[in-house]
Amino acid sequence: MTALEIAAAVRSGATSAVAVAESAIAAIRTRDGAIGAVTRLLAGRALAEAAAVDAAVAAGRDPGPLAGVPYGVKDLFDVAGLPTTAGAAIRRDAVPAAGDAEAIRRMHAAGAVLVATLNMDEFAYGFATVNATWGTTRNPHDPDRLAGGSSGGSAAAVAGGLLPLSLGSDTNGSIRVPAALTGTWGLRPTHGALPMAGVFPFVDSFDDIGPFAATLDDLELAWRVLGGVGEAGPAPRVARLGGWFARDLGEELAAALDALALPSVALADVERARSAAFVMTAGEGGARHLPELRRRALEFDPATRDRLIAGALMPASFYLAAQAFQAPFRAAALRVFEDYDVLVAPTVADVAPRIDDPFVTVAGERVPARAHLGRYTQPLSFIGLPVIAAPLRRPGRLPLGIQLVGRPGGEGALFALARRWEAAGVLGT
Amino acid sequence: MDDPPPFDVETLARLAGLELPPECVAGVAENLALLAEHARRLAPDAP
Repeated sequence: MTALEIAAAVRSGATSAVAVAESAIAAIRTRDGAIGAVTRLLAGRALAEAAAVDAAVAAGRDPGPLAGVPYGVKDLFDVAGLPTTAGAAIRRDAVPAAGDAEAIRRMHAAGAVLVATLNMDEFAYGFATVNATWGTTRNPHDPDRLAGGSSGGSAAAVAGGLLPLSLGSDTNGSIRVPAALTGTWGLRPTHGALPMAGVFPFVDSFDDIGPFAATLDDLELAWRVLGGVGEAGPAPRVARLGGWFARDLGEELAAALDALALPSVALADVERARSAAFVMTAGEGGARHLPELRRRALEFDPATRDRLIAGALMPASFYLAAQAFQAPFRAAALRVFEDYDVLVAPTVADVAPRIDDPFVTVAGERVPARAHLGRYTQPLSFIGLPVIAAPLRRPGRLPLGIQLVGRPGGEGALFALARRWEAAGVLGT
Repeated sequence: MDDPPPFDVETLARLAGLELPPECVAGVAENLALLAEHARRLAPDAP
């Protein structure tokens, strides 16, 4: 059932929130072993929250638009009473969070029921969700393939039908990449649009949270519950991003994008924008973790440790040059939005890489997927643009996804276009 | 990495107050070189 269907059934009394929560808990217990999306099952909390929703319904009170809807959160959201691990072994015994993250409070106020915390790359630094402590999250469409990251557990929990909704975070593509590889809907909002209080930070300049869902309606509902605002407006003017965003595409994705028959627009200096995002990420991430790296570097996940150290040792001039590039690149992008409301771009070049061969091809060379799956996503989050990561509708085949990119605050136009293309059979799960 | 790093990452690490474990030296050097490559693209006169 979708989140909307669950909420309607709970609100009408056709089913109880406790029954829905029990079903989600059972699904995780029986099926997550093959996926590896869940790091902590919060059965006690879920049943208590669900009982409160049922009590509200019984008393005739409004239980909220997400009444009884089970969901999970990436393991970097504060959950009251639990250590916020951020996917790191060194935080396994951190002081428990005193309260819930603001996003969880808003979900709770809307009647949603928190069931699980979900796997991620350590400290959100990666596009793979291959975690030395909590294991590899597998792609529900093919368990021999990556689910993507860093919010891989959030994407896989929805794609695998364990939960109808989840929350993740996106710094360079960490919602969009796993959404594409698992065939789910994801939203990275305008930078700063949704609350970051109680979310373990990675790179303040780019960090944002957002929802994953199996349907577009559920995605929009979760976004509005979290605080998203904006109206659809008239039919959006749409173009396709060319240049950097048209290179190195797999054949099927290239054909799907060509079939949209959109005018192509170029955005200059995209490669530099990606480099700048790469440098700022390393610099801010490295500086954040330097105190713990001094104390116990070898307790970090080897997959992130050396990159964080390198970022901490990098000359400040690198960071400042990258930061200085933000304003001119943003200004150039905003000029493109004078003529268009939505820009379309690939999310990832091809289907999910295999876990035993985690490489992608760029300019004819095999390069590690962990660092390169975000080549089409990083330049966009570098300037804080909102993006819906949308699954191309292709039943029975491995997922491919595209980005619907808007101007800051332009989420309404993204939902309008997504809805139109979903109705036309272009997008959907 | 087969070649020795073009800079002394252990000294750089010491400047930052970090005693670099031997198993990190090659990986840190490789990642610093990658960051330098990205930074070069950002130079105003980069091609």
